[in-house]
Amino acid sequence: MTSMAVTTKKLDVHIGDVVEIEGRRYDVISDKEGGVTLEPAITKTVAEIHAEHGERQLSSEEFEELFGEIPADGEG
Amino acid sequence: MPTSGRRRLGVRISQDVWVDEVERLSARSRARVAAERERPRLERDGVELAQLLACSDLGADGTRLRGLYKVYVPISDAPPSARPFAFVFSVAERDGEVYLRLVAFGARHPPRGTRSVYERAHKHLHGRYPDQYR
Repeated sequence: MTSMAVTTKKLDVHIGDVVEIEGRRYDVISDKEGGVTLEPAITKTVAEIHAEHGERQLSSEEFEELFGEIPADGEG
Repeated sequence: MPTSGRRRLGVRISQDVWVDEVERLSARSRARVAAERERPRLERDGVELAQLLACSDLGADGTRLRGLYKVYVPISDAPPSARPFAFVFSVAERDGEVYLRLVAFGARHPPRGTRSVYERAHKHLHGRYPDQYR
């Protein structure tokens, strides 16, 4: 059997950090077994996105008062 | 935004959200190609209200997306089963103008181990995924 010549890169990262690998960003999250795993990053909340643009988030009640009831399909 | 017989709502897309939601995907993935095909039309013409669906207050997967709206992708009159992806929007108001702000994009029913667009939207809305409350 041939051995794998892999050099371990030690990373000083913690749950909640965002890391970039080859131009893509990942969230460092718990793997629920005492370790960590990576997932494609989500770096901003809806509130932060609206705030950055100086806009207000409308509630569904406000929106549907203006535009009428929007149907739902119950999927998500 | 052009006027037509069908009522439409403008769409705005932040580049950093686009990077998180669409450019995270491989350049030639079906999802990314579908999203990139829709973007110019979305920003130019907005979304027909008839294409818009309200997200669920509480989904079967534990997502809570009250106040968010979605459109299936490709955007067309094809049945939902032929449109495997979705854009999820929040409604914004500024200086009296009401429009949709993109918050999430992805597969509606991804393979196991991949987050759905609804889980991603939940994290954008609440700061964590539905399975991260334990």
